[in-house]
Amino acid sequence: MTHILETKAITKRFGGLVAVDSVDLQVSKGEIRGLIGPNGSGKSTLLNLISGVYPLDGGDIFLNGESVSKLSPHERAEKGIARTFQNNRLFPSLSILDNIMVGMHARTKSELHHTLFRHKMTKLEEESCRKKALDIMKFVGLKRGADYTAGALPHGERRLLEIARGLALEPQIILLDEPATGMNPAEKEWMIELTRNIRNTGITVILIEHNMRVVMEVCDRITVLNFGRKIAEGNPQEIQTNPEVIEAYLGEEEPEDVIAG
Amino acid sequence: MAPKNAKTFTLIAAGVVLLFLPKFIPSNYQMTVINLGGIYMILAAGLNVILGFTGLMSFTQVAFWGIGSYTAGLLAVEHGFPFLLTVPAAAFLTAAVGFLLGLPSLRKLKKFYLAVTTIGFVHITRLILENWTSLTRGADGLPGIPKPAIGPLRFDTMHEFYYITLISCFLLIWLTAVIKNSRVGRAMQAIREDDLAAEVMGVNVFKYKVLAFTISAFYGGLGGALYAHLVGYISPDIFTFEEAVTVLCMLMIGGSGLIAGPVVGATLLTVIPEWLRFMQEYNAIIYGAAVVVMAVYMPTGLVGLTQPYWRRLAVLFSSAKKNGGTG
Repeated sequence: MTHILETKAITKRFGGLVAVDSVDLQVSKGEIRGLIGPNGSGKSTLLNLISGVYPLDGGDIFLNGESVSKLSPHERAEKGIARTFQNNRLFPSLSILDNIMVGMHARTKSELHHTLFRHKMTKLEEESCRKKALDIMKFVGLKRGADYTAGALPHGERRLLEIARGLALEPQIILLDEPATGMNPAEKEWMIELTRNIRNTGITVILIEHNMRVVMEVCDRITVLNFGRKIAEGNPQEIQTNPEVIEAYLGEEEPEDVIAG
Repeated sequence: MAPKNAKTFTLIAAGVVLLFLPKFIPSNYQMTVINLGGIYMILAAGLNVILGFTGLMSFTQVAFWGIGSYTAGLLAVEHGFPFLLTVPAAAFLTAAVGFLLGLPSLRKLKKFYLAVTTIGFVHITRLILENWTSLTRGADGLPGIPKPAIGPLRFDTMHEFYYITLISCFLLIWLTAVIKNSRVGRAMQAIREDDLAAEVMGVNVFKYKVLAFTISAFYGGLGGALYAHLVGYISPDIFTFEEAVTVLCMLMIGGSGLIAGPVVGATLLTVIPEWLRFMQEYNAIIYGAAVVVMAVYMPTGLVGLTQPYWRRLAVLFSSAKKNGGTG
């Protein structure tokens, strides 16, 4: 199987703290990869390294075998890496439609001179973008009018809009940073289904999620981080029974406790 | 549809009034004030692109105004260029200056630091205009800039010049509307809202910041060229930091980021000081207070206040239609 995304010994330091410590990751095309670990284990930092928000302190990142480590975030987006943020970063005063259409920026070409001289391409692009945006809204389950202001949306729908904006990029891989956090049970159910639907369109998914039920249900493979290091990797069953993972989450068990229990 | 019709009607009515405005204004002085208001409107529209759309605090508009004025003035006085050449030359040269200033200052500098840099540029520009006497004639200023003539058409009086101001304002404001609703405009607004998210979504943030800066310089230069031909005499002490603040006030009070913002703001801040002539010394205080109030309580300015009105009209019309349809 070909690896769509590969990291080799990537490292990030903040002062004396090693937030991500020489992590190797191989993600296959079309899989849903879970990324779990206790708070502060480096999950979000890892996504920030992959999407280019932070520069690397060491190691290398490959997309389809091609190094992207030197590319700026917008160039990586152009190559097909989309993401959402842990704490929602929409364009609040823009409409739902405009938020999604900004996501299509890298896939469209109309510059100022095309617009000013009424180039045919601009009109076609605007029309096809509008249509695509409405399709994406339907796909992620946003039922509002497209002109609704993004900042006025309730929390769950904001998360959906952020995913919609990411999908508008027509990415090869999308990084979802805790998308189900703060959602109600029905919304969480939909989030699981949506993640699968995204994968079924051929997009690889990396998912950070605290809700273990969501992670175990939806992920093909799971990578566990602790103190910036990768401590385990495997399918959901393997991860659930891995002693090192249990230790990282629950602390070391005393033998007497086990006997007593 | 309904609010669009209401808006179109308002715009046409305003257009007719503006077209015949000089007929109702006998005084030369009042007409001068109106022309100056139009030039401020152009400066504020340029600021709208950089601050309103892209979210970058810039005071350079007044420096661009000065560069545009001197470019047009010197080309006309020293080299006898006609009006139709001095204006585009000034606009494009100023845009080039804006581009060159943007390249180093927009890569890393953000918010406060960028604002301070642009303030510095305003002072440096004024000092250069004052001290590079071999080119600009220094503090004596540059007199004798001819009134515009386009072929056989001459615009010698303020009433005649008004039509140049009107057409320029119309075209340049319309241009901001075209930019705002384009792919480029969406990228700029995304940068204003959240530049990191914009970058991660594939927007080349630096490129569009520089572009917005260049466009605002183009507006400043064009406004400057018109100003030079309007007043006929320019000197470095016109292009002060206070003027930069006035332009900023116009945009903030009118409505930053909204197309009609510069129109309303520049009109009000041109007309009101004329009414309040008797308390001229307090103008600065009033402006300052107005901007603080606007920034805190209505960041979308006066135009922003009218938006619920259009929306209410839309709801009213659509519900009327629905009732008509089902009943």
